Amino acid sequence: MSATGTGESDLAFATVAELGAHLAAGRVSAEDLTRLALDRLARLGPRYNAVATVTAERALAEARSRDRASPPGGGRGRRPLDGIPYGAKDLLAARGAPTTWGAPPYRDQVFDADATVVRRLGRAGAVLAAKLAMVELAGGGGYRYASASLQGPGRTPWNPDHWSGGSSSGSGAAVAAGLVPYAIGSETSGSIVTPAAYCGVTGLRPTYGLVSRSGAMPLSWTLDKLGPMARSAEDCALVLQAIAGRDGADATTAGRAYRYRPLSRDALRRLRLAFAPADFDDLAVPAARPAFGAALDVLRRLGASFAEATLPADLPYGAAVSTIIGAEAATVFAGLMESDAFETLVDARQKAGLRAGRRIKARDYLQAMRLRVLVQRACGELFERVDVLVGVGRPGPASPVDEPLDRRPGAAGPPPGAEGRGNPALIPAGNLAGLPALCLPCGFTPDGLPLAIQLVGPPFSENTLLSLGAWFQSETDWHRRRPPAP
Amino acid sequence: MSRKKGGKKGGKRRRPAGPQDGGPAVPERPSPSGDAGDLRRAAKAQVRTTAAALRALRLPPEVEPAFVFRP
Repeated sequence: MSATGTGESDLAFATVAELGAHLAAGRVSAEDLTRLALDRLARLGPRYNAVATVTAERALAEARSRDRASPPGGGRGRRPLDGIPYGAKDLLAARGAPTTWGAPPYRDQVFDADATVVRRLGRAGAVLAAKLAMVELAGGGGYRYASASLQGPGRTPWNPDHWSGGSSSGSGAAVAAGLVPYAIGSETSGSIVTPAAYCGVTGLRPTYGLVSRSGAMPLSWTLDKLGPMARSAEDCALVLQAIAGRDGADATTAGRAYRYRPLSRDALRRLRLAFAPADFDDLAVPAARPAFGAALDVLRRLGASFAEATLPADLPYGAAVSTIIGAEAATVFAGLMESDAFETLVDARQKAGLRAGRRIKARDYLQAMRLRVLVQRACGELFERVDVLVGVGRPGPASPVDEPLDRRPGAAGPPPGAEGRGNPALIPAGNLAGLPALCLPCGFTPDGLPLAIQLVGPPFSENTLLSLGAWFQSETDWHRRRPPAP
Repeated sequence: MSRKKGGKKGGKRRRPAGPQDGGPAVPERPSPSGDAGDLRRAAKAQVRTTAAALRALRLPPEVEPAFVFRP
């Protein structure tokens, strides 16, 4: 790991571990870091439509409290997140601050208690600096334009004419632009992996049930997950340590804690990796193939064995995930749909999709939930032979902000000749089965847009994925690249 | 009660033409409010399409839904 300086730019793009070292050495204080984050959030956040609310007063109070409790220069023994600012997707309740869910009907919504994740991060000494923008209602009805947000279209710092991805748009953009060192995002089906890929940051979708969702907007009770988006796999691990674990307020929590224990190089050599070649050539856009190929080469050099593996191609993963989200979201937002405020949602397709969810029949929802059992079994069989399945984060880079999202590569299905090949449904399949995924930056297109691979493992394999990700990032520097200065 | 002239006739109501019939597709670039009627029809058609895909699966009855209630 390279040491960083304490100039604005170095601090803004430092990892959590590096910031912790600066704090321990007394080179900066929690208040210094917080003021830097608050300044950048206010100054640069609007350029990327990344911010819903800057929580300046709370942040400064928390930072001063941390400086009193753990004075800078106290040396080793600081907890990893102590005194370090972060941002939370605006579907997480933070007492006293607006929690808009990215949607006009909720622009004035305020909760009087923190979400469990926010509370746990506070206990770990973290400083909440901002609520970060998101696609309205996490895109539950389906949306066609990047503009489907109260905060406007999310823009990737690598090229603000392109989308930051959704629905954790602001979480991805804020980390990529150096506004906060890390952020919390959420994923129902793709909402951490996609913005992590499009913004060039490292994102972890944890196993379903590892992290409490209490205090988070529900979209789909059986699919929603919360996870970190950060500058490195190691930072994701440090954040996950603080937020994972049983929570009496969320009955779906699995009762497992998480502690980062990096795998040794020898243990890494014993990992059985697998991938589907079609993902990296036929299904990927041509401009992305060199970077994807190079990423596979790095994994091969790490010494792990590499085989080919695909999920069953004949299961309707997309139909199942859209049916489950549609039916559950139509129930979650039933009251909203009966109110006049529903019409104030930004995206017309979102409204139509939410309404259509009310027409999903119980037998189709149940059939989708039965299909999940088959998907779990298929994944279980695959992960008896394989430790980590490697796929692309997205098959191509971020689309232009004003381009309909159903024109993105892969949105209309595989290209002619590639049907039934590869793992194009890795995101819905992984979410249906509740599997963890780690999204890692792996290069850029010739015009400078980020690309990413994803590592998927069996339930509760976060330590394997994060260790492999950390080794990958020790061999590459894609995660250390900085977007063009605004 | 007599039926009004030109009112609803008996028999199956004709479904409005949609993209699946070669009718109007979702506009490429809807106005901020969108063409609500077209979008609603497209969304309903999507529900029917996904339902058909799911119903085409022949699952044995012992395959229970995920996350069934367990006291």
